[in-house]
Amino acid sequence: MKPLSTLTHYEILNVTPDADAPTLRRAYRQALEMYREDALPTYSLFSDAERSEAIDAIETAFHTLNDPDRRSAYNRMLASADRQKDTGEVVARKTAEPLQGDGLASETRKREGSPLEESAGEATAPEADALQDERVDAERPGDTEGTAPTMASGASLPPADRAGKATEAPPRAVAEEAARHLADTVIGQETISGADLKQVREALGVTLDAIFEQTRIPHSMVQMIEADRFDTLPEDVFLKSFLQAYARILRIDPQRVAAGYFNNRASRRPEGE
Amino acid sequence: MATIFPIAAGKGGVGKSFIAANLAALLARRGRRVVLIDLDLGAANLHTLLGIRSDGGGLERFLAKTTDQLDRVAVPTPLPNLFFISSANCAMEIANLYHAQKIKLINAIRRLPADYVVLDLGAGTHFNTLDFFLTALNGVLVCVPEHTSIENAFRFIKAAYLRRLKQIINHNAFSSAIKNAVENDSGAGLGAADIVELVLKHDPKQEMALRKAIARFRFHLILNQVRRNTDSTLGEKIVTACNRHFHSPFDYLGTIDLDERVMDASAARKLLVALYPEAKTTRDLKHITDRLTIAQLPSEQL
Repeated sequence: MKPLSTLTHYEILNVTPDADAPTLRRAYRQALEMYREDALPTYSLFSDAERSEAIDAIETAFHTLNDPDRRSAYNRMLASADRQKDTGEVVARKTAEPLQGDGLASETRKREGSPLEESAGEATAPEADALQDERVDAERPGDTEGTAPTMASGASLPPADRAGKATEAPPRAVAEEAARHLADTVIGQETISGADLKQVREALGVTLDAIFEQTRIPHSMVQMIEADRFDTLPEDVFLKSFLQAYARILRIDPQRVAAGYFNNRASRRPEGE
Repeated sequence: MATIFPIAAGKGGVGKSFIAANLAALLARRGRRVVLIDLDLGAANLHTLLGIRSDGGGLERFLAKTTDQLDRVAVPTPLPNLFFISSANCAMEIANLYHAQKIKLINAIRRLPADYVVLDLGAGTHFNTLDFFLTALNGVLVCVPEHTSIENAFRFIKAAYLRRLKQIINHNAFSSAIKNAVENDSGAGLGAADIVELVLKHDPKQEMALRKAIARFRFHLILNQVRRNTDSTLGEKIVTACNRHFHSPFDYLGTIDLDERVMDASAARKLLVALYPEAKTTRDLKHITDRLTIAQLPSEQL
């Protein structure tokens, strides 16, 4: 079953982005009412752990949206995740959530290195393996993954690389050097965002597949990290080890990556969250 | 090829047969050829609701191989365009349909020369019920606004999901490790989560394809026997919860109020939409029929 945390805060509370305080409060009460233990619409649907996770997601949604600063930070984060989606990467949202069993959503997500995350089109079955009566639709973004950098990551790279998806890759040595330069810059930052990491990864031509092959970190986990979707990430102890493994593949300082990423998260999320 | 609408429920007594019969009648009234089949094997009621005494032998003739053409055992009803296959005269042990009979029946249902085929299923999550339910890509689920009905409805959905996962794996190219595990599972072992884990471990590239296959089944919910004090948004909330937490899409068809005329029609052995054409219940059923035919996924073979 899919957990509530796959939705945005707005979707969880069933409000529009311009919802005012009274609307939010009403929506919050209704959401809690719907997920209460003996509420009819969700009666027996969840295990205790799943229900408690759903209530947490509702609480988080309300407290984030109800605080103007946290709400604008959240809106910015959503907007940047949407921009990444527009450049062709599929960011795992509610329609592309991992196919999980009927009750283990919250437990399995936290398992270390669990491959129970969807592959978002990166590693789909090729046409020959398509299921009967199914067309494997072109949800795959990945043809440009690791060759030419995407538009979004253009800013720090030499102009020759900014021509968009259809360009040929620049001479390997130049690209490599530019990528290393970028990596050094990013590593030197106090806070390192997921978007920064993604720029480096793409500049270095490292694909999600390559990360999965070597570290068993699923595509969607990497995408969530790169999208700064903090609310969907596993516990710190696992997150840190993912970040370090990710850094090693990119041949950048694992300690700095983990520290920088956590600093970034702390600056975007208030204490006690 | 016919569009098949299976009508199921987690538990009995919620109005499956009533809805199946009246839904079929409303479709027939639109000038479409409809075959209504009583698949509540061992607990058949449709012949009573329709007031049909002589059913021409019904399903039993097909199962006993007297004829191998399923449409030959369909009888006309008082309503033009509506044909009926009864299981009133099935063998006493018919609830325990054999696997081979079930397959033969499912294949024959799919080949019926009709616009619509409406299946009245038995209650609960027996394999046969689930397999009949999964003959189509649209399944109608009926429940009433009570905890018992709702918990059984959720169980039905989960059971159908597991059954569908196993079907997809059996019918498609997955690694032999997975196929063996699923085929040799006697039913007490693998849960849906286990199967998904197996796929991710042995065949991770098929996970996306699996997910897409699962999403190609659409559930349609009817909330029946609604009372004055029932939350008017209950049906929508149930469907919201289902869409959020399950992997297949859910559609809300509407509510039907608790109506004593349902019992009156049954006692008169006439269809409610025929006996009380102006009743609110008839209007609700029409609305539901409209929504269903708009919201359905096109029928395809598994």
